[in-house]
Amino acid sequence: MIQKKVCILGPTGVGKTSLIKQFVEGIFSEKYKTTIGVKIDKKQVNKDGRGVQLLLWDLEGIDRYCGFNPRYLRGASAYIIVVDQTRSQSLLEGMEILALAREHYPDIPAFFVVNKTDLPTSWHWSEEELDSYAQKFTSLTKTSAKTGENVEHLFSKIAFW
Amino acid sequence: MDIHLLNALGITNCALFRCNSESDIECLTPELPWLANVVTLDENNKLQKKHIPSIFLDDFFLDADEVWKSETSFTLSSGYWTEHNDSQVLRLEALAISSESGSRYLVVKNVEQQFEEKHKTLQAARELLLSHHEIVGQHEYIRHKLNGVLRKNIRLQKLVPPIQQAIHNLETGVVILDNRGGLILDNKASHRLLLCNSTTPSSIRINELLADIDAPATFLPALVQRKAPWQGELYWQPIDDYGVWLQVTIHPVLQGDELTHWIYLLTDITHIHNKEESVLTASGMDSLTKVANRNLFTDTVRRLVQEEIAFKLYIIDICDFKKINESLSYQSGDEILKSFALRLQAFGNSGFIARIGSNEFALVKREDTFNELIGAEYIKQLIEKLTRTYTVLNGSEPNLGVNIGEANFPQHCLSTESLLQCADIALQAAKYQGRNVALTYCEDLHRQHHAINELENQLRSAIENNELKLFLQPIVDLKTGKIVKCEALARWITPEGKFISPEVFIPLAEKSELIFPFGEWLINEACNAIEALKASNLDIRLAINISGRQVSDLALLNQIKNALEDHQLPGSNLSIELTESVFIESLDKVSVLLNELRAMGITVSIDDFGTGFSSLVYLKKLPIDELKIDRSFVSELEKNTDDQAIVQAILGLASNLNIKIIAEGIETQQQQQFLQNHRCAYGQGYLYQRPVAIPEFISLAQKLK
Repeated sequence: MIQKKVCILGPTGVGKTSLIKQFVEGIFSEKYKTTIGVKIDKKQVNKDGRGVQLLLWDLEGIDRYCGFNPRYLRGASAYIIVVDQTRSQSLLEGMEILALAREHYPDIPAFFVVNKTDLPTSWHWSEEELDSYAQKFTSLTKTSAKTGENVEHLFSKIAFW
Repeated sequence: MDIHLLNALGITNCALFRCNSESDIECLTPELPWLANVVTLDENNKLQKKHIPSIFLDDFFLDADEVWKSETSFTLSSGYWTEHNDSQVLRLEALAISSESGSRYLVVKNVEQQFEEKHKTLQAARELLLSHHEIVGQHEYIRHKLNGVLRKNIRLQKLVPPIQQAIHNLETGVVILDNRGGLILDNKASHRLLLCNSTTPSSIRINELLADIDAPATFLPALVQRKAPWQGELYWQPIDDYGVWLQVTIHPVLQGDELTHWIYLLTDITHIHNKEESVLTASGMDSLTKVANRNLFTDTVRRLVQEEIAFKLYIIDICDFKKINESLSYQSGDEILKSFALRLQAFGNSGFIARIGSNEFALVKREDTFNELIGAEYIKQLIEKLTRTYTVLNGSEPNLGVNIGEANFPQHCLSTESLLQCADIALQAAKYQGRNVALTYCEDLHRQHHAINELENQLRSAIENNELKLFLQPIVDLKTGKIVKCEALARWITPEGKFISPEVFIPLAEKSELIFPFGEWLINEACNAIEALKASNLDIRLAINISGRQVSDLALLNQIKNALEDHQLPGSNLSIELTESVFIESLDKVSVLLNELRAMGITVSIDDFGTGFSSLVYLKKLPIDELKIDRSFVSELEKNTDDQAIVQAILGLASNLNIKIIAEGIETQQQQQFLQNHRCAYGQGYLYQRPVAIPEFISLAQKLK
C-alpha cells in the first residue's frame, strides 16, 4: 500500500493535534494541551477501492519557544499549515511558516487549513483577503476539529492528491 | 562508568548502539524493556535497519548516517519525540555521535522526566501566549471596526447610540481623539487604566503616556505617513505606586491622505507579564530575553563538565550599559537586551545561550558543533554581529561595544567553578584593554589578574592607611612668573619604599570601585593642603582631578561641600579638572554638577584639551574657566608647525570665549617664549617646578612671592 508522510505545521494553539485526534480517533477535547517535539500517527484512507496509509507527523507549534526545523519535512508528500480563525495573529504567523517551509521545500504541496470554524471569526480579513493568502497554497480547507467539519475531507484530499 | 550500571542505578535510561559500519550497528544495552518499541534486534543484538518499528527513528537514520560519515567530532540530536502503542507512551530523544577517534554511536534516551518538565513549563508559557494573542486579536478587531465606523462618520456625534453604548461597555480601553488631539469619545475601561479624573481627562493622559515612553515628535506623523497603526507592549508608571503593563494600539484614521482621528486602544496585560515571568524564572529562563537564566546556565555547564564533553565558554559583557539605560531610558535598554539575545541566539546556532547578569550573556558551544568558522574569525564575526547598530522605539540608534572572555573545557580547567572563573578573568582583562576586545584565558592572563588583584588590595590599604601623599605642582603666570595656582597630584610610595607610578594606580582605581574612596581622600587632602598654604600666607587656588566615574556619583558634590565646611574653606580656594571624555555621554549631568560647583565659587578646568572629544558645544554650554592645552602639543612646539597651529587656534578660540589657557608640560624657554608671544596666560611644567611635597612647595612659593 502507498504510504504518504504528511507534516502538520502551524503556530501554537491552532488545533493541529486536535485535527489529527479527530481524524484518527474521532475524539475532541476542549482542553488545550501543548505538543512537545514530534508525534506520529497512522491512518489508512480508502477511496474507489484504493487505500493510502497516511503517516501524520504532528509537530510542536512554532513560536518563540520552538523554531522551525526543516529536517522534519524531508520526504513529506504534503504539509498542512493550520491557522485559527479566532486569532488573527495565527494567520500572520502561518504565512511566515509557509515562507520558511517553501524556502527549504519549494515543491512539496502545501495545504492551508483555517481551523475552529465552529467559533465565530474574530479576525477582520474579508473572504477576498483570505483568498489572496490562500493563493499561496495548494488548497484551502476550513475545518472544525471540534465538530469534525471537513476533517475527513481534508485528509482524503491530501491522500489522493 | 559502565552504561549498564548507570541504567541499573536509574541514573540514565538510555539505549546505546555502536556503529561498526552502516549496516553493522550493535546494541550494547539490549536488556532495556522499552527497546522493542523502537528497534528490532537480531540474535546477536545487531540492529535490523530494515525493520525499525519507530517511523521517527527510521527517518533519523538518514541524518545519523551523514553524521557517522563525518571525520570530525559531531553530535546531532533528533529532538524529542513520542512513541506510543496501546499500552505505553515513551518520550525519547536520539543522538548520533561521531568522534575524531573514529567511534560512532547512536544513543536513544528515554527522556520522560525532562519531557514532563518541559511540557509543564511550555504549557503554562503557551497558555499565556495565547491569552496575549487573544488581546492583540481583540485590538485588531476593534481597530478595524472603529476605523470603518469613523471613516463613514467624520462627525462622531452622528454615531448611533447603540455603537456609542457598545464602545462604552468594552473591556478594552478606547480613546478617540480628533486630528488635533481633542477628546471625541472614551470609555470606562480607558478611565480606569489611565487613571483619569475630572481634571485629567484621557486626552491629557494619552499625551503623558507618549511622553513617558520617550516617543519622539516624529512618531505620530510617521504613522500618518505610513498609513499604518502601531501595536506594542508598554510599561507605564504615571505615579509612584501605580505601574501597569499595557497592550497599546495607536491607529490614525484617514480620509484619503487627510488625518481625521486617532484611535487609542489599551488593555492591562500586567497579569500576563507577571505570570510569564514566574513561569519562565521557575523553568530557568530569563523573563526579559527568553534565554536561559544564570541558574540554568550553571547547571548546563556543570552537566557538560560531568559528561566530559569538550566545549567553549564565552562570557559577553555589554560595555557601559548603565549609560545606555540612563541616556535612552530603561525601556530602550530592555529592547536592546532583547535584540542582543536574539542576535546571539542566531549567531550561536546550536550553542546554549544564557543571560547571566544584567548586561552579561554567556554562549556555551560544544567543540563538535563548530563548522568552518572557528577561533579568531568566529569571535570577530560574533563581535561584528553583536555591535551592529540597534534601533529602538524612540528612534535612537545606539552603537554598543562588547567584551568577551573565553575559556575552554577541558583545556583550561576541569571544574565548573574554575572554568567560570577562567572565563571571567579573560573577560576582565579584555575590559581593561577597551571596547570590542575578546581574550581567551591563558596562564599569563591569570598571572596578570592575580597581580592586579594584589595591587588593588595594596591600594585599598594605602588609601585606608593614608599612605598616599599629595604633591603640588605650580601653575605660573607667564607674564609675571608668579605662582597663581597649583595642581594636586597623588603619589604612592609603599611602606617597603617602592614608588608606584600614578600612571599605574590611577587607572587601576578608575577601573575598580577604589576611585570613590580615592576621590574622597583626595578632596580631604586637598583641603589640608589649602590650610597649610594659607597658614604660610599663600592664598592660591588648588586644583584636583575628577574622573568620569566620580562625576556620575551623586555623592561627589556633598563630599566637596562637606570637606570645605569641615576645613572652613571657601570654594574659591578650590578648582577641579575634568577631561573631555566626561562630556561624551553625560553632558546634562555634568552641566548640573558644574553649575553647582560654580555657585560655590569653585572654578572648572578642562584637562588634556585637544586630545579627546574636542566638541566645541560643551565650551559654549558649560561654565568653564580654563582650558589646559595637553602636553603633547607643547612638547614639540619649537619645531612642529602643526602643533604651533593647533596651539594658536586653541588660544584664539579661548580668547573669543573668554576662557583662560594653561599650557601643560612646558620644559624649555623656547616653548615658554612661543606661548608668551601668543598671549597664553598660564603655564605648568618642569621648567618651573616638578610636583613636590607640600613643605617644599611652600618654601618655593614663598621665595617666588
